[in-house]
Amino acid sequence: MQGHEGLDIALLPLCLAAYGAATFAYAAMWRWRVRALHVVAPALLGVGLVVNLVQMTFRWVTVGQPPFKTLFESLILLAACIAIVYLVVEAVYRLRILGLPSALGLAGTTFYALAQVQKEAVNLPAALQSGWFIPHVVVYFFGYAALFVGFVAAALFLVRPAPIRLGRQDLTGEAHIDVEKLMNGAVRFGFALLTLGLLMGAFWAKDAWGDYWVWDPKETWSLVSWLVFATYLHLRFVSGWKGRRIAVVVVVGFAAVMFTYLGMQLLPTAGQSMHVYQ
Amino acid sequence: FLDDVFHSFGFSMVVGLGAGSLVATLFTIRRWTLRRIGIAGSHVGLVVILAGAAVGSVWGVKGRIELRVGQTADRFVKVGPGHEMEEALLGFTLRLDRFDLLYYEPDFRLRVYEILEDQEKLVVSVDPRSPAASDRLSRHGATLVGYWPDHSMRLEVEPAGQGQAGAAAALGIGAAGAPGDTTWLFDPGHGQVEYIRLTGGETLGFVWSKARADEVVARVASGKKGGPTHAIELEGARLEVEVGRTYALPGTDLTIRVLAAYKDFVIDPETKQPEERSSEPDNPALSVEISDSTGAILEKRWLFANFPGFGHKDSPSGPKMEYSYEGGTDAFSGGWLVVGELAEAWAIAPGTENRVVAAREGSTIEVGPHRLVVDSLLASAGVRYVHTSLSDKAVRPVAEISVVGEDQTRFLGVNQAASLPDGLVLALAPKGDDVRDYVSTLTVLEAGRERLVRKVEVNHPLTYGGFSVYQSEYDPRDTDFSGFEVVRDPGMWLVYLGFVLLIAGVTHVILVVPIADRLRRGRRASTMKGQADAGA
Ligand code: HEM
Repeated sequence: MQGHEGLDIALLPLCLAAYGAATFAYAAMWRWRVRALHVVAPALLGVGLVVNLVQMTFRWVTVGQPPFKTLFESLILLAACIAIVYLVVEAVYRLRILGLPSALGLAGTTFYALAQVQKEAVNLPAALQSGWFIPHVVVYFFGYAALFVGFVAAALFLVRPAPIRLGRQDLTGEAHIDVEKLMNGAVRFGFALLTLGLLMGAFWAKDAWGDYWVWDPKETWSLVSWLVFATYLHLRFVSGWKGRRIAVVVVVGFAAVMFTYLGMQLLPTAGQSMHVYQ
Repeated sequence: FLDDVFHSFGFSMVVGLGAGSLVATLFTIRRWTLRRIGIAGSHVGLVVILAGAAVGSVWGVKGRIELRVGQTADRFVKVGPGHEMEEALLGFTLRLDRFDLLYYEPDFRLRVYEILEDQEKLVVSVDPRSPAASDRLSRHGATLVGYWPDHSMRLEVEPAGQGQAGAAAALGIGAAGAPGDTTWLFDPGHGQVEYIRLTGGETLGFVWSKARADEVVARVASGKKGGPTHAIELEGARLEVEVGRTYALPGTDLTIRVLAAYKDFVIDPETKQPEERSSEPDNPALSVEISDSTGAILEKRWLFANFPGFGHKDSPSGPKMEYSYEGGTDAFSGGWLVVGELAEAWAIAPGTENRVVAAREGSTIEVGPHRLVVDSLLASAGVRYVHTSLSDKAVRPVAEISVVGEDQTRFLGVNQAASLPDGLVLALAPKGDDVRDYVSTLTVLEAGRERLVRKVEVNHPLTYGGFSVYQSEYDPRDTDFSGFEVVRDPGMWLVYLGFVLLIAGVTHVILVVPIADRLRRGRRASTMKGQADAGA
């Protein structure tokens, strides 16, 4: 235990380097039309993801409990989820336009993890020793990752609402990239996961304490985030909002999600919460 | 209070929203499609959840039970709407048979606190095992010199340099055939003779000079029992006393009787009686009784060698006495005596012929059945304590720290603290709430008959007779105590039904419908072009 640094931490700079290199590769696409980049960029991101997963597995095995408890651990999980969701989106929609901001987000997340390195795991309190711990957290984090991709699309749409042309030709070779459609898909998928995570949390809380809901700040804020995205769905499909207006709703929703994720420490009641990262 | 307001406010907000959206959607649906079934399902789900929660809060009951091991309860305490407590019957009886409070392996942290007016604020908490610990502490004026989770000290003896303070003659003695296991005896040149007692009762003592050895021989021959001396000092006069005897106090007409003496005085917390904590003279104490010339007892008093002023405050008018204890170990009273200067060992025992054998480094001395080897014989030795950790487990953690501006390092044991510059304090503290689990073994009784035995812990409630019993509290200082939350929630299954509807509806709309659309569109791709969002 003394002195030696586990792979979970030792690999972090490598992970950051891979995500950073992927960022540059995706950025280069905006400038040069080099086909090789279409392979190199996702490959670098994939390398980052593999390193990321090795870190998580190593920590899980050495600590002997799911590594989802501390901020550091959750950042690693979040990065892995974002990388997976992004790569799936790129493969399914054959779109590389979100590559730069997504890879940048990944590098940022990893960098933050590096700044928050926590060598040691925190012992799980009794309440977290439950079969619901893993699905609840993993579902939420995949939801966050999907909403991150939706947010990136919304931000891009707000910056360049017209069909985007990159360099002399579109990244994909297609004439039009419907960023809005991409955003909608990601947000809907993210919302489904948010719903699932929320209900699993409530079910778990009932099993652990006898109450579905105790208005813990994180619960309250996850409800707020959920309501914002529920509003999004209604505005989009009932009221027929499109374009910039709906993209703004996504940005607001993602801000609520980020506050749910990271903002809890800032609240005065943070001390009593089950949900605040150490 | 705030909680309640928020609860009801948030609650009604959600109810309104859910019900409103349900009504709205059901009204707007005119043509039922696959997609609309999903939408309806999720909205109905939401309303069912809220209805279930409402049923629970209207007809449900919630309360607490506190039990100690062996106790039973047939009722619980519920908090009424106005925060008043009332008791309610369970309809059956719960007995706590056993309570287990399980801990994680302990671990410790070095913490820097800022001491404010009425509280302490944690500035930083570092793992003393982490390589970065010293660095992180250095920002607050301390560095970590060493850390031993399972601390133990080993004595290391080496020849002393010229005029080294605290140096003493030393004899290192080992058992023949067991090298490396040396016992050390020291002779500072005055006071007692240090000796070891072997199994079987044989003793071996050590002095350096022949002159000291001769004194010892003379004392042993005289047969005088050389126990520790208790001396009472009073107004410059010195009185050596023994337990059980009465003395006249010099310079007064009082007498003093010595009732008892303790080497390591402590009050037993249970019996409230004084007793010896150890056989080391760590807290020598003397119990005395002072009488006047007529024999009337004036007072009883405890005298402590380590706390000279103690007792004066209680009896300001009485004589001011101080107690000194001399002689750490019982005196050497015969056996083998190694005389360092001569490199000899003398067999001295009252009434027997004295024998002399060589005791150079490497010599073997036969002491009864034991064969001892002289490992080292030093005229002047310095002593060094070497800190080691016997294991990697945090059994008896000790940290050595260095505070800026102090030339000596300090050792911190558990919950010990050192002051740092700028009003900060550094402490070695348990890492925290390391409770791994708490488990109650509960028996359900009805009409005195045992119905059910269950282990109840967080995440594993007991359900019986319409109630669910949740493990909710423990008290680390009272390991027989266990606290429970009891809930009767008739809305629970409604809520779960709502969960299922909501999840099914949402997944249906968001995952199933688009995939179905995509497949259909794929078939009609050529004709339907341009209606990417047809499903909307
Ligand atoms: C009422 C329902 C609940 C909701 C809405 C809820 C919401 C959330 C949310 C939004 C996250 C997101 C991940 C993050 O940002 O950290 C999360 C994580 C987490 N939840 Fe819940 N939760 C609920 C109940 C519970 C319960 C009952 C427990 C445990 C007994 C629990 C334990 C956790 C844990 C351990 C995490 C991972 C992050 C951390 O350790 O702080 N949650 N929850």
